[in-house]
Amino acid sequence: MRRWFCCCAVLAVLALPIRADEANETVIQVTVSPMRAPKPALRYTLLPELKEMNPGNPIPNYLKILVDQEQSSQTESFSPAALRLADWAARLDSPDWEILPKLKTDGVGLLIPDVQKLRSLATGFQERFRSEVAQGRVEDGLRTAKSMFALARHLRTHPTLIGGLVGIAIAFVTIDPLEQLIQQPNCPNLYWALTNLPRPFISLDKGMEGERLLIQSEFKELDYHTPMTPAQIAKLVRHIDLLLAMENRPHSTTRQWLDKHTQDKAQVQAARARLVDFGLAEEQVARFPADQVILLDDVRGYETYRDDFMKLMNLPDWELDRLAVQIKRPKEPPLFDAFVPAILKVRHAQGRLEQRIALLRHVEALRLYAADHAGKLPAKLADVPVPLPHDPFTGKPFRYRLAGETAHLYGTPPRGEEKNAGYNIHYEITIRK
Amino acid sequence: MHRVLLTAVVLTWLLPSAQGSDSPVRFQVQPMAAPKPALRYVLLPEVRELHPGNPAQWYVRCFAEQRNFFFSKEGVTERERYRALPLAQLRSQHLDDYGGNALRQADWAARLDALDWQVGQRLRTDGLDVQLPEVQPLRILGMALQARFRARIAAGHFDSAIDNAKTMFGLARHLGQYPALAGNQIGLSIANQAVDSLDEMVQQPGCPNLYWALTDLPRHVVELRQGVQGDRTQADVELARIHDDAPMSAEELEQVVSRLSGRMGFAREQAGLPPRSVRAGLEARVHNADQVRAACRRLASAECTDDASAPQAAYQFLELSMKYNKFPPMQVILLDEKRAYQARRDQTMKLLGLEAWQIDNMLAREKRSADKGLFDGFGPDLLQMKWAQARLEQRLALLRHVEALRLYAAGHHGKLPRQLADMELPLPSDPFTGKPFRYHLDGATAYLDGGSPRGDGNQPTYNIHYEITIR
Repeated sequence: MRRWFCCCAVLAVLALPIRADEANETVIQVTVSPMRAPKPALRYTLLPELKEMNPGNPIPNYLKILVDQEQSSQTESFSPAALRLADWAARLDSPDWEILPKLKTDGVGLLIPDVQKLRSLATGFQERFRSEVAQGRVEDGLRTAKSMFALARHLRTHPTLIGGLVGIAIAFVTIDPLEQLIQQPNCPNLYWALTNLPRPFISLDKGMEGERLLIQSEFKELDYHTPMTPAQIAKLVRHIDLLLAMENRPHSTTRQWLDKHTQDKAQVQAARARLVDFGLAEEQVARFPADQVILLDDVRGYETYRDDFMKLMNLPDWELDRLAVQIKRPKEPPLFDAFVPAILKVRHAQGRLEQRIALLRHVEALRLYAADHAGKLPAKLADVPVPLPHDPFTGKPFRYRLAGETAHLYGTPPRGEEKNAGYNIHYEITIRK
Repeated sequence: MHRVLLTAVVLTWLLPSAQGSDSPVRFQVQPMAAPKPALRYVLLPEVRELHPGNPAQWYVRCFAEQRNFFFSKEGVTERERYRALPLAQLRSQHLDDYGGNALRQADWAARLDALDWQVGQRLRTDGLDVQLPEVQPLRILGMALQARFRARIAAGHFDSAIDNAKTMFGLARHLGQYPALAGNQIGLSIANQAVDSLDEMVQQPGCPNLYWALTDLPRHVVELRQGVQGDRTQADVELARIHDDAPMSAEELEQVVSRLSGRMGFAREQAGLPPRSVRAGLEARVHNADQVRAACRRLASAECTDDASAPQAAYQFLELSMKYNKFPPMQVILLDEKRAYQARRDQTMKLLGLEAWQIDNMLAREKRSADKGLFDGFGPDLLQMKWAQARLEQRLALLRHVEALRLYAAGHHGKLPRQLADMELPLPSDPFTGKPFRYHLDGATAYLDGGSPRGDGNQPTYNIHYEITIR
């Protein structure tokens, strides 16, 4: 699957609400038993520990399992032996997607069918996880959770944002049965296991670097140092046409777009001046043909616009949201506007996962509290004796209220997603008598 | 797929492969001088084409989101059709890019430089239980590549056809590094498919001469060393369950026997052999006190480190005999079988570094017992594997002769030489005889005959006759 379509598909899936009611919120009702922390506190963890790891690359091993499944079954289910092999793969220590050289040569046309297929492996794991929960096999369920979370985190090492998004989707697929698990009467308390998870759970750093490289690969023929010949420009124009066609853009003829901009002498002059400001030598730029100047200026404009978003990537969600709305879209969108990754959407997906893990940690903290307070829930979060994470979309404590014997915990949506039920999470927690 | 099942299935593919028939293989070729530069065409990816990366990962990546192409009924039927259609009919199908991205990923994979199949560790821990799910699909990948190869030959696109051949030989060679013979077997199968198509290609008008390209191939296109050692490792992991340092409990022995019965029964079933009760065979020996005593003696004797004539040797032998006498009879019999199996296996393994004809000669001199031990079903027959490897080499050598004849004809007004020595080109010997291939010229037709391993002379697979005429 081509990465752009893939990206849209994953974002669409991630945006789906779980159980939305009419008030545009997703209500998750959980009934849990009071439970103290295990001893030792990290007796249970949710990612494979170093002592379980083996040397090796998990990625080809996941792919082998997928090949076997493709060959032997017309359904999406996996054999127990295949999932055992996947457990083993999830405990290998050196994920390497082996895709960097291809990324450099194929650019935005890069195909990544392997990434998308891994979601079916997560579904296979999820089936096993549900069955383990249904049978009350808590330890086995936790082992599966570890495998699934490890698989999700292996995707964060893929040098495209789509890899990170699929990782986030797989983590969500894991959380669903994990929520069922903690509602089992004998489930150990996972507060410290959840606290022990890395933050962010799926980092997007590698994907972001890859996105920058993708565009660079496409314009490697665009010369910043010497004047380009008409033949070189014509070749580049054909290439850009292909790129834009991939995006289903009406810009079927880049030539027309260039002609429109190069006819205006003042516009070309202004473009030359911006390139000099950008750091190119004035005498060099003066020798460039107008087509080259306009293209270079457009790429510069694209990079500026893109970096205005990308520079915010490592800020907390709530700060990112505040600053992102201040970014001004250029009056005339760059030709390559469509290649600015949907950074806000991606970060919101990442934040939603962080929020969900944080909320689950609250549920486990409430179980801890109830275990020491005769099954009662706290009147306010400040009464809980363990540290609690803030809502990633507000930077403040989660909203909490106790109504009778039910605690209500709310996640706040990010800016622009207020009406999206998938971002309005409402946990209703009751303690089993 | 489970290893034992896989091995049995693959061995059945290897034997009836393409050119195995008593009927001659007829070549109608055009005289053609060598290309300039001589190595303009080669049949394996060159270093200058390589990229950093692990090909194994990319081969399995070819299958992602390609179920219909590789595995659906329609996909399989179509592929088999393209592999069988006469080239003239295939030409009209316009299949130059058959397989699209799935096969382009294989092209990329074959040109990566850091192979790691990622199975070594599991072989060392899982023994015969190891799953090798990627091996069988790679054979299907080979078939798809062959379909594309033929399509390119049919279209007369020799440059891209040779690129395809490079991918197939690259994949075959990578499978030669697979640490299980099942993988090596698939490598041989894919290389044979590539040779099938090369046989067709050299008969097409305008096909460049591949004499130097064939000469440039490594001696063993598909190695067996890794596979032999991998299978040996798996068997040893399995046999390590039979302890030789302390007596085993009845429960431990039952576990071993039960496991062995299951594995061996499955292996025999998959190999099409009649069932044989491992347990019954063992029980019979366990209840025969003479056999158990003899087994103890053999074990003690095999473990003695001292020169038998040294004064302390007798003492050591006695001490070891006493150790084994304390073991339960079942353990003694199992250990004796293990010892015998390992000895027999190494007797064959030690030969694999020799040429096929040298092995053949040695086997003729040695008298080997036809008795099969309890564990002889572990892994494929090593000699059959060696013959399969030599057969591929024989086919490549014969094709090199055909190309040498095209070279000769190009320099001699389309005439064929009266004898091979007239060609003044280095020509390979027949791997099964160590001697030049048999050749004679009858009118306008040259006849080339390949030899066969001793005892297999009547098998069509090993009787290759080429008839070559110049167009």
